[in-house]
Amino acid sequence: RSKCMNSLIASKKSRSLKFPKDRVEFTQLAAEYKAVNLGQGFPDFSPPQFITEAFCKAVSGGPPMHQYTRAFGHPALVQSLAKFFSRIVGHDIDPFEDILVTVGAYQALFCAFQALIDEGDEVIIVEPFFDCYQPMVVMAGGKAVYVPLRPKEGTAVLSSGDWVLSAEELASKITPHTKAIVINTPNNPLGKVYKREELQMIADLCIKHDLLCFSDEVYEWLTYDGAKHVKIASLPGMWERTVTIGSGGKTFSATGWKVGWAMGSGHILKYMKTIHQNSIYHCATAAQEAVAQGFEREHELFGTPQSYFQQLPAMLHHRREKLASSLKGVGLQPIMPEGGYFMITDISSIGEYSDTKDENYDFRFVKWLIKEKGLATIPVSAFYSPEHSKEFDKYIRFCFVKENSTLDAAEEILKKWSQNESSH
Amino acid sequence: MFLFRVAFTSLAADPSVVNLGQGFPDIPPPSYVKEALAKAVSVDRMNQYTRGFGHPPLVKALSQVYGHVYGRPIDPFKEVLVTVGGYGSLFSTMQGLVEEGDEVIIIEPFFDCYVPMVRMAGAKPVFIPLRLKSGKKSITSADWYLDPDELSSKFTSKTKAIIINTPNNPIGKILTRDELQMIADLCIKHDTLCFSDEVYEWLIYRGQQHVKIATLPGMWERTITIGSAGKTFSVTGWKLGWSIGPQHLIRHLQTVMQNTLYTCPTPLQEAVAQGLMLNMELIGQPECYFTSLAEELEGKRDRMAAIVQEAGMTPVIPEGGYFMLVDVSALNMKTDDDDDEAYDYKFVKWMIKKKKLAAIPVTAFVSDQSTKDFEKYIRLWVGNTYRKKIISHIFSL
Repeated sequence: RSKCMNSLIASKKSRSLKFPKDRVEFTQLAAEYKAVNLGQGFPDFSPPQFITEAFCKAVSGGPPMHQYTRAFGHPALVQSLAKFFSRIVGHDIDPFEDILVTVGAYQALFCAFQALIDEGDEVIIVEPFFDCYQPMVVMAGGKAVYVPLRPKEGTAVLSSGDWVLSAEELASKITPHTKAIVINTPNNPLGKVYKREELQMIADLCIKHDLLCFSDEVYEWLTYDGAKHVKIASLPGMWERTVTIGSGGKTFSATGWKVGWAMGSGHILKYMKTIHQNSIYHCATAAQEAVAQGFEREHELFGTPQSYFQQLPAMLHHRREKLASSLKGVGLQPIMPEGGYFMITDISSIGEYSDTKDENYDFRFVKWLIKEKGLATIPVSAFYSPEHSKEFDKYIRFCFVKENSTLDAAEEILKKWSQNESSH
Repeated sequence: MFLFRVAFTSLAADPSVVNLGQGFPDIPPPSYVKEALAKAVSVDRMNQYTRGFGHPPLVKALSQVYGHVYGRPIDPFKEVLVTVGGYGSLFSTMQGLVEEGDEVIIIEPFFDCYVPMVRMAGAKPVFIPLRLKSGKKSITSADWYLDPDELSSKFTSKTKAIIINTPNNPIGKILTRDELQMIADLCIKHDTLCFSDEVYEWLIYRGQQHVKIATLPGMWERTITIGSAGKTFSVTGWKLGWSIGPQHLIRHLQTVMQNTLYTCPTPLQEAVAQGLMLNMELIGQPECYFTSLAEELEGKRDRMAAIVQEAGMTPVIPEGGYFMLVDVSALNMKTDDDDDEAYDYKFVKWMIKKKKLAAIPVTAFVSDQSTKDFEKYIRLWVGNTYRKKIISHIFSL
């Protein structure tokens, strides 16, 4: 029998990865039932005018805008990123040594795992986690070790700030094989914004055990209620062991541009550059030029009311409030996110409506919600390891980075639903 | 090659140096493609994530264009993957289908990323050089050939795939139907895969024909064919490419894509889709970019060949692609550089420093064992437009 027709034709590596069934399935289901989509994590409003104008300007720029640029990052972009972030991190960032531009933050994560994780290394992942971390650890030959954020005991859990990491539990997961710890702040899906003390606790362990830290900070500009985003790389002893990942797509509400970056000490970044050079090599020029212009503008306007980094969180603050009150209005218990794109809601007060028993409760609930109510969300246990997913299967995730009309439509659905309930 | 490329880029970045080395056009892309991009950015939805394996309008356009070219229906969702350039397709293919312990046959000279990508997948590259027919006065890329017995000897029980690149970078050779059939016969006999890098598929000069190995009997089910928007529309800086093949192979590339970068930029894909559909309508007409670009470059190719000859060197006339090999041995240039270095490296460094002209040494595209056969060649980019006068001047010795 032909080996080429055999499923064993795939590399061991790709066989060890799941074909992305879930994400594809939910997207298709939402489209099929024409659901109001609060599931997917991207804005349904336009990026700010200044950034789309910058892109158009780049497109009509001379021939060089349409040809290869510097492989590790378009000079205008790495220079504006270095200038912008040096003062935030408190370290002189070298644009050519300390920055790698990638196809979205996703590819930056890929380069970090491929470059820095060896066969047999353990990587600690804080749950709930953005779902790509685990397969990327696997693809690098590493082993994922999980430590969950847990709701604080004893108090009402109303905010993402009430979900905490136990220092003892985290320390207990470290072994001689541990190579790195992955954090995401602000967190997807919970919305937690790690406080300085919490980051210090993690930093202390990284320094004590000589670990790397991969800090996924794609939502860094989206914090609410006065929460402050702190970069773990700015803590003493951390610059030399941290890879900080950022996203032009999330920064400028243009997720489809796929411009991201990794920032860190050159002695670490150089390995990531090698991976990049042997996988993608260059990123699209015009999009990088546009993001560079965006950062130049924000550098000028930093801290002022015209800054997009002030205006976007202010606008989303209201959307967040709006969604939360719609959910509370129907007796659901949202957990107010301190940052990010998402809000999770406890659905345990609602009875069981579906038949299939093998799936987690939140998966079943989400499918039922799409089919029966026309509202799309994402089950939160999808962001947990297999060993913990049953503990956290009573939450669903909403994206509130949407037009008011979308949130209004969701509110209608929720109101109708609760009216149906109360009339029984 | 990478080390050279990095060092070379800084040497050649000197604005007084005329750069004939890099593989990208300095002719502008067609205006409708740039307009389509600007228009895409003005549509809200086009600035957000699209389908991971390829923006639907683009995969549908690819399915139409290539369905026509292949003469078979191509499923846009199962048999096409959009990637970050042809480079990204090569990477997804290697990661998805090649593993530890496999052997992958590479024909020399080869695009330099094949070797590191094969190694990154844990496999072993096995080389077979193109060999030059002897005794010819004026040389074209057709004068290089694959020795059938030599090729056959390279296939072992560990061979997973053979990589072919047609038209070839750097020589410009277009593999003939007979040559492709020979390769196909071996792939079928040994049950191996074929990775066909066809990024220059439209850059075919007069009298030549590009044949897709995937169209030969028994080959569709075992071939991944790679294409490039950058090379098709002279927009290398857009970094979009694609892999086309049977579902049972493409799905593994899709899995890799999902776990490495998830999706490609939306507005760029939208613009390429429009460019493809527009040219689909124009196939057979003079305005069709798939053919008009090759015609434009052919004139430049011929002028470049004439200049090179006037300067006392021997051009290798390419049948296709962006590049031309030049045999510099007649100049008998002596350099006082390090004796261990290949001649072409020494020549190019001298040429950059003393003649302010940059090119690429061809041994950068071969393995160590083939250095001696290729070190008298440098690679020039064919399409340089307005600098002919300068080049001519510089070349007068």
